[in-house]
Amino acid sequence: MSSCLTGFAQTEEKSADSVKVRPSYKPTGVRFGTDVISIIRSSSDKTFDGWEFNADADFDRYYGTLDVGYWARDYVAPDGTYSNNGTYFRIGADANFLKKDPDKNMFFFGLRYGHSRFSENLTVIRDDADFGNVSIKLINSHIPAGWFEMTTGLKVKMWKFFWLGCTARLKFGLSTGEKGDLKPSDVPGFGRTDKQSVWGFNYQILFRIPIKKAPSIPLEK
Amino acid sequence: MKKLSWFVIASFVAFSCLDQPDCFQLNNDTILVNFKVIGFGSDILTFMRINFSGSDKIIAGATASSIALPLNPIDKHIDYTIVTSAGDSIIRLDYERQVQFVSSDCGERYIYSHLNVPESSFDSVNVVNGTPTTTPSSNIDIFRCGRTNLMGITFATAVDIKTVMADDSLVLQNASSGAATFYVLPLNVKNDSTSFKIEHADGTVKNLIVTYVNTKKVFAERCGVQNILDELFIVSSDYTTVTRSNAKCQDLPVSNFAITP
Repeated sequence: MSSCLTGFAQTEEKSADSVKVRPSYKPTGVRFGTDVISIIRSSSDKTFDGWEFNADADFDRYYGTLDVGYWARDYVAPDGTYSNNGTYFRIGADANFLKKDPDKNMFFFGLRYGHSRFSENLTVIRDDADFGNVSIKLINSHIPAGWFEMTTGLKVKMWKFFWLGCTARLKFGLSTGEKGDLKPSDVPGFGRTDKQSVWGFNYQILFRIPIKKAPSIPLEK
Repeated sequence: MKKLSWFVIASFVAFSCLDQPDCFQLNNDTILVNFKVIGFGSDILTFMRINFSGSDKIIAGATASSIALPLNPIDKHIDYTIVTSAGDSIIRLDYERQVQFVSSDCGERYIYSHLNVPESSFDSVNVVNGTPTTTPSSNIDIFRCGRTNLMGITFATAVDIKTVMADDSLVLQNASSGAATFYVLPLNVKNDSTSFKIEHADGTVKNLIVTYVNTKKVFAERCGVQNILDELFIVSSDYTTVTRSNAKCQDLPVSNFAITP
């Protein structure tokens, strides 16, 4: 988080010469991108496979955001196996606190609602000291899950249309719709379910497609 | 380049937060059963064997007022047969059970809830906490009807008693394999007094007459009307001294009188 604040300070200096403009709530561009952490983990972590696409559009200092993703987990434990897979989306809004930056660099706070639909299965085969051979096979099929997120982070213009972003997200309020004996362990888009709240991080490469020129009517100098 | 630097640092922060779960005490698969006497307090039993779902646990001679019992990871019910020095008893438990994968290192965990007792041969059973905890805490109280007429006497020095007659009925014979200081004698619930004739191993016979206030009370429907014996008093004794230490009969028996032979 301290690294993110350092970035904030740098971008604030740059915006010292900017001028106030009349708020316009028509989007000036749309950013599309992908999460680099998901890509790296998919190739380096044998238990994980996933991707995530991100998009946002500006409405003055506010941004509507949409994330769409997929992840699958595949674990082997001493007494069995667990796997899951499913898709998810997050929808929400960010507020940019770098109001005067002409490049629209962002230090933002935001809220999200996340939703996933996923399947998982657990197989257990082990010897129990009291009950002998324990053999269990449980499945959750296409069950829903929902949660909320508080987000913060940075999005910085690097070169022309190329942007980098990092988002830290505190996920909480998870509810899952399982009806059977298998309690979800890992929800795509959310993560581990054994804690009330979990942290998540995205490290994004983004491309901004301008729709119209940003308003530049000076109100005062 | 400066802009890039904080992204690199941020990535370290991100990966450092991918912690692993702790494998310690994941399951709440053990319940604690307490044995109690209706209207009194904790019971103490001598357990001989506990059988559940084909498994036989030999715990011969273990004396306790509570036992920890495992829940079945496969089924949503379990039958226990509890064999004590007082006899055999059965109890069936129903419950909800969910299984959750934790991690490759920890494996799965079992989450039990909604304990219920649909069937039991005990006098009374009460589920005090339907959700077991990872460190066993009280879940079920098992009650038996109390014996409300037991009087305890404590001798200053160990004595060997051969027989005891209470109102001309034999209530104790070869009570112990040797000398003891504490004996439990039953009082006659049909009267307000009981006359004891205590024959010692050395041939001496001592008389003891106890009076008491005898009232009736219903502790639990299952136990019916029970006699509560209070205000115990020695009206006649052949012993050197008899001092009252507790005026009321209790189950488990306490010492009501201290006797100097």
